[in-house]
Amino acid sequence: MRRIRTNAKLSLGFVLTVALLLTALLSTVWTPWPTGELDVLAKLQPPGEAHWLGTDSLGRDVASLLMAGAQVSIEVGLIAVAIGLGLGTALGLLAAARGGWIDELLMRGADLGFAFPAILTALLFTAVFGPGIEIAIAAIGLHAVPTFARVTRASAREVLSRDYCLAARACGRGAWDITRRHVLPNVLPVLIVQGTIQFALAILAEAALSYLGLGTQAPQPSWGRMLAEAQTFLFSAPLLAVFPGLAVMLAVLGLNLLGDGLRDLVDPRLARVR
Amino acid sequence: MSTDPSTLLRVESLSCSYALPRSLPWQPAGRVQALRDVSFEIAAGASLGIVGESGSGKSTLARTVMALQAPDAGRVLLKGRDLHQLDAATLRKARSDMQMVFQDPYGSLDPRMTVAEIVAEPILSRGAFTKAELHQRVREALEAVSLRVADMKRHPHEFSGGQRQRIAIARALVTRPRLIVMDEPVSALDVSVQAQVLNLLQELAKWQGLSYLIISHDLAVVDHLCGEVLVLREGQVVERGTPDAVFGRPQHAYTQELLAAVPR
Amino acid sequence: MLEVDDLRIRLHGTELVRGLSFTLGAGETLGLIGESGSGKTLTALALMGLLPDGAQLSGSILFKGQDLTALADKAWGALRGRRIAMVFQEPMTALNPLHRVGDQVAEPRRLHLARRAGEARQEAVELLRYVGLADPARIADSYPHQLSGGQRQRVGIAMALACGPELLIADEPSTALDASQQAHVLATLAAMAAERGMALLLISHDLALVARQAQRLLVMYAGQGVEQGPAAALLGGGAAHPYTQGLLAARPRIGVARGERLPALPGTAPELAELRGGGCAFRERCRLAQEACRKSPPLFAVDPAHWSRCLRVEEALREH
Repeated sequence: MRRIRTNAKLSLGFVLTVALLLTALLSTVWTPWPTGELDVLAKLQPPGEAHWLGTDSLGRDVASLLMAGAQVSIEVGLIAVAIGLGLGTALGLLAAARGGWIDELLMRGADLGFAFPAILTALLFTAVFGPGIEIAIAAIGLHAVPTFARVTRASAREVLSRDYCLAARACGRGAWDITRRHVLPNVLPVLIVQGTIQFALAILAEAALSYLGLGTQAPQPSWGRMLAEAQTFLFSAPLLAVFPGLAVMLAVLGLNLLGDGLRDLVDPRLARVR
Repeated sequence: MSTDPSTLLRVESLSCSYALPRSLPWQPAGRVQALRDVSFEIAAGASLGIVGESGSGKSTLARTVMALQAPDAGRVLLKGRDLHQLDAATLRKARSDMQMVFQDPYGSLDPRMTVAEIVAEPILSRGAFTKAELHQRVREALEAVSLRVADMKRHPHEFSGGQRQRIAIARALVTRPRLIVMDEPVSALDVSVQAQVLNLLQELAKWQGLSYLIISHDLAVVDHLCGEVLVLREGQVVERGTPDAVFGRPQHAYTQELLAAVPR
Repeated sequence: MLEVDDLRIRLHGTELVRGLSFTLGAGETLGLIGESGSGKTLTALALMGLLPDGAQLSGSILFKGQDLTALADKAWGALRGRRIAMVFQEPMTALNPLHRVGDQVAEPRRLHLARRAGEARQEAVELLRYVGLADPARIADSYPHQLSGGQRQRVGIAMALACGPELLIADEPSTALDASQQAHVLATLAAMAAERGMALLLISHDLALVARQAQRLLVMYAGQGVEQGPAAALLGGGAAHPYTQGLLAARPRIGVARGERLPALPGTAPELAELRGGGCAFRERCRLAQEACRKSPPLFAVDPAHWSRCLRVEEALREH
């Protein structure tokens, strides 16, 4: 019973995530209409033959914009998660391996990081460096660091307390070797799960930031900005808001399900070892 | 102070304590004395058993002897050299003479490594072997514990508790050590599997001239494998002697208590 | 009180308990002996209705006339903790680290017997005293991690006894403890059972340990019972099955055959998934095995109260 449920979650999540990735990939070489093309005569059209999902206030094809927006979301998600994972994991491992005041310091730092919402971090960055997609990526990425650090530290500590790490020390292995050969491989499953979850959060954060005008700037397509622009036309052309909203929802849902499904896979395997 | 060359391990006045977690940051941390002035000697080829229950300090003793933890006072001399005074590189070399087997056959093997990687670990860190030599050593070790060479590529979770303990023993043998320190080597195993592993240990000792330092709460295990016994209680040695003497004519009340609890 | 008849449990397509039958009366202690893979834990779980999803039960388990195999989840709620209780091997898994010990011991009484918090708390302290814990009031206020392994195990026993169950199942209750505590805990359990007229099922892989406390012993191997008889008889040289004899002989004993090879049973227990075509599951490792052992051996009665599932019972008894 449980296996079917896991598989359903996993399959659905997998399908949605792959759909997202493929759409983004496809959009690099083809979209139904060029995203920059303004067809002023066909403004605010409902979905039809020529424009499958309709057009926006400037006559741009909604379907194409959605696809290109997927590209941006993936880009931001990947890089932000990479930053968070890279830095966060390194710090978490350091805290777990060294303990003592380094551990304390890093964990208090993480607490501080948690206190700042992503939007606030982005605002601060924007105030200093000006708006733009790179700033958004940096802000979201940095915001993910404390989470990864925490998760890595907890998992690494558990691994380090196991006898096989003690055995490795008894074999004469140094701390760095033990971290590389024993801790990392055993911490990996947890990181993968966390990674997919953070990816979803990053997409959400990017949409929120561009909605506020802080992230991706015109003319680069972005789901968040599409939502912002659609606000004005909420009653005349409601679908303009529905489509990007749906896109964000499906992307986040897909990744969350994938993450959940992966987590279920990881847990029972550990429990079944006996 | 001259050391008899036939003495393999010599522990002198070992003391170790732990700091307790503080309730308030400005109060001094309380200390728990895990080991008090423990001394003993093991000659090459002989085996010593330490009978201890939880709280006796036996795990601390194992870790201090294996130089995984520093003592507050005292010395641990392996082949005449004080392990805690050696620098990192020399200590690493010295470790090839002394290996350890842990209690939990499920936790002492990295679940993500293959048997070959696990068994080879003690010699991998020395970097002095070619791939072929490594392979040969691992094979020897596995054969010594009656595991199949074909098992090399498998992972720990594919084996039973008794087999995993054999893998742990193979890992301890691969450096061709003189001394193996064992912390409750068979306590986690079923009775019939215990007997098999005990027989294996006995055989290995005879055949390879190994010395064991066995720490266990099971008196019968210690009685079976060791020529000398120490009874450890709250960090102190309360009685010592041959198994005949200690178990046959126990002097200390604690030893008598332990004996009374043994079934049959 | 408890009648198990031809119990069979199938999990993931393999039959792991293959026709187990035994009875247990009030005030009696039965030692269920089996090593890993013998099916003893599954049997214990079946008696508590705690088998994992996907397990298929057949046969019957009659608890005071009520068939437990057909019981709905809701009905189990009234039985578990109240009339049938279990003590687990690893005390830490049975205790919630976030709650005080006293609250956890009081909980079954509040749940099943609708005691008020204050009363239940008093009773919990009494229970802790009963199981042999010194300073029970302080222990009741402690959290599990503040107690030693031996203390935690006693707390587990107190929790199981809380509602005065009629049947207590103890699954390897002493394995996680030191040697000196093991015998003590088992003796405590057996004494309580006798005192309260409670049926006690002691499950362990160590025959010698349990034999002192039990009146009868049932030895399991590869999902079946292979010998059942009075504990005194089995321990005193009257074991009538080669596996039982092997278990008894394999234990190292102080002062006995020091430095010599222990008579260990060769090989390991068979994978139940690979067992084919009937026959005695023990024959691969048995010193008395013959051609005839390829057919499933019948139960042979050594005494009215003592049977052994072995064709060569007479030789086994003689050679001992």
